[in-house]
Amino acid sequence: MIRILIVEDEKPISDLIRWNLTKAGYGCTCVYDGLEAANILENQGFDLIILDVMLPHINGYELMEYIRSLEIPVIFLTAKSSLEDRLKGLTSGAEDYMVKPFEIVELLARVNIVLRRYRKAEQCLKFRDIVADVDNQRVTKAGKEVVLTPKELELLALLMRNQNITLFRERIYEEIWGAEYSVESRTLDLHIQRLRRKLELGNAIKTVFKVGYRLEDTDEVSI
Amino acid sequence: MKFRYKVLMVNLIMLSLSLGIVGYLMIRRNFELARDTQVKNAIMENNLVQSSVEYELLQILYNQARQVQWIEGEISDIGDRVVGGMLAESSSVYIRYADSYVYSSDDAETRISDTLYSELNIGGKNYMICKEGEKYFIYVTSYSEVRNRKLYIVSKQEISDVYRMLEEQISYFRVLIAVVVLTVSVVLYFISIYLTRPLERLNQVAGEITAGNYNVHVAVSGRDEVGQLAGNVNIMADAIQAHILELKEMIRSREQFVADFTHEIKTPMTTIIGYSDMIRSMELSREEQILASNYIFSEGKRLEIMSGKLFELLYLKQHTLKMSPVHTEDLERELRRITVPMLEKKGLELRTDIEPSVLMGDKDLLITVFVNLIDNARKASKEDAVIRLNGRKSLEDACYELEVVDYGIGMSQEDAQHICDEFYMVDKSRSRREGGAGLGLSLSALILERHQAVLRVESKLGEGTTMRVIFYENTKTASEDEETCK
Repeated sequence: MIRILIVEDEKPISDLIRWNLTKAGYGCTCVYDGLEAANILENQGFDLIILDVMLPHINGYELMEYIRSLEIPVIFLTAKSSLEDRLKGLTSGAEDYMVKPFEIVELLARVNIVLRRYRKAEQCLKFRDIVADVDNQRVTKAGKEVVLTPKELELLALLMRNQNITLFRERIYEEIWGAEYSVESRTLDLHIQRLRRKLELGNAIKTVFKVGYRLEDTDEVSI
Repeated sequence: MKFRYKVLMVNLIMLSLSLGIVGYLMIRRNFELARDTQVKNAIMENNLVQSSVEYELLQILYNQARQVQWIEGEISDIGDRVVGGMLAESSSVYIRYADSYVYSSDDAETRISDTLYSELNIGGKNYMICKEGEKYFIYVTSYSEVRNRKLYIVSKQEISDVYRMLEEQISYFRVLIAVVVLTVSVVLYFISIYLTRPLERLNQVAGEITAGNYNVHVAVSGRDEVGQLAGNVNIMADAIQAHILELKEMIRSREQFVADFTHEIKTPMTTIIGYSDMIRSMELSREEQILASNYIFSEGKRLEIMSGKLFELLYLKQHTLKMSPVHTEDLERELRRITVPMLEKKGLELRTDIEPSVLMGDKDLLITVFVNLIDNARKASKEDAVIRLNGRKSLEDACYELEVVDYGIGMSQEDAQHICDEFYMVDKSRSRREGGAGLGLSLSALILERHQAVLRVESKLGEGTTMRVIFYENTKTASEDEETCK
């Protein structure tokens, strides 16, 4: 299991991240200040650190200096959104930078991207007998290759990464087409229909009335 | 046109004008004197000729007893004798006796104007200056009667020298005036540069001030107007710089406030957005739903408290307080009523020791301050502890001190310095748990400031904190003493 260290002094936010990452199948440890984080890093190894910048005792940038020698990828989490702060965060050696407030889909996506970059997450996404190899643009169902357009593949990957999470139409448009959501557009529905047909996902991709879609593994019990 | 050139031009024009006028008058006077001398000489010569001719004429007439009619030939001899004996080369003489020309020493009698003969009385003299070619001549005419017949003697003399002298003087004066004006203009140019240099410097400084560099000074000394102006410009630059610094500091503190505020608002926002996102997009169990919505609720509450406090802060900054006498016993009673139930939940006891007195202030706001201080003491105290509220008069300092004492966790020196800053929290997570927004003490400090009261913090880690509020009876001393909390 992939272990993630969450360094965040605001309890509600720390809980929020832990909760969601746990649901997504990661193992999480929470610490609430920089000193505690340094201590726990001495004894345990982690695959990823989510690090708040404003921390009591030792701030995020200072802690980053220490973490760099451990070669653990870091995602900065901060309320500061100025360009200066972003640059400072990224030049200090962090893999990614996330500004509060954030949405869960965004958090999971960033975590997934960073882990894949470090070859720590599985390269292939799996759902039942479907395996999606995003890097090589290949999808197989029960070992047989299924031909998908690039957009269909992206949509499938998004759904597979966020299993059991309702993906809102706005969010999907933003992620796949990088555009503003427009109510009339049927593009998304057409893509979903084609995915359902090609991969026999008729029941698994649930339509959440009026708001979006959810890839649901009905066998899985929610945590 | 530059000022220095204006000064230069005006001076040069004045100088040339006055030199010209003076020179003209001098030369003219000089010329007149020289000409008058020449005229006098010519008249004297004419007199000489006249008397010689008259003498010779009379001698001939008496001695030889001749008739006037036969005299003509004699006149020519007389003329030759007289002229040959006494006249300079440039001079000529014409003698006319009995209305006919009789003698001319240079055969030029036709040029003599008739005006020279007219208007003359017996024994009278007349002169005239004529220009003939390039030369100037003076004609002097005398008129007398010999044996009842008219005798005119005209003597002609060249006076070109006088006019040549005039011309020479004029051309010399032209050269002189050119040299003088040139020299003076060079000297004046440097003088005007020297005099206007401070102005130039002032101009540069004004330019720099316009460009935004307020840290400039004019190095111009002297007690003249320019020196005074420079002094005033320096004072102005200093004043502007002070104002700009003040403004910058104000902007900085505003920006800091906005940045703090945005940062502070981000945490509840993140929580609310995050948990509501979970509720809408995941199948959550009943307990999970309650947990998530509880977070949303409490963070929403915190935002509400924050906005309320913020509103109070802004309100206080913009409005004047209504001051009225407040009895300390009333204050004590009110505070007990509000805080005791809250303290009892944590098993805390409020011990009060208030010396009766009257303070000037806004009662509701003062209660806000002390509720805040007591609430802070409650948050810092361990369970079943004591919080003291002491009030006493201090006669020597003419003030009244009210203090809230707790025996809780205390804080470091560094924290104590910052507790009045907006959004500052000594222990963020604990403060959040207690529902703090980081604005309580900023608000209290502002209220006290408006009362001209001073807040002093004494604290030691692990031993507790004393928050002392000092109300001065004479409000003037307060501002001098204000150092702990602004």
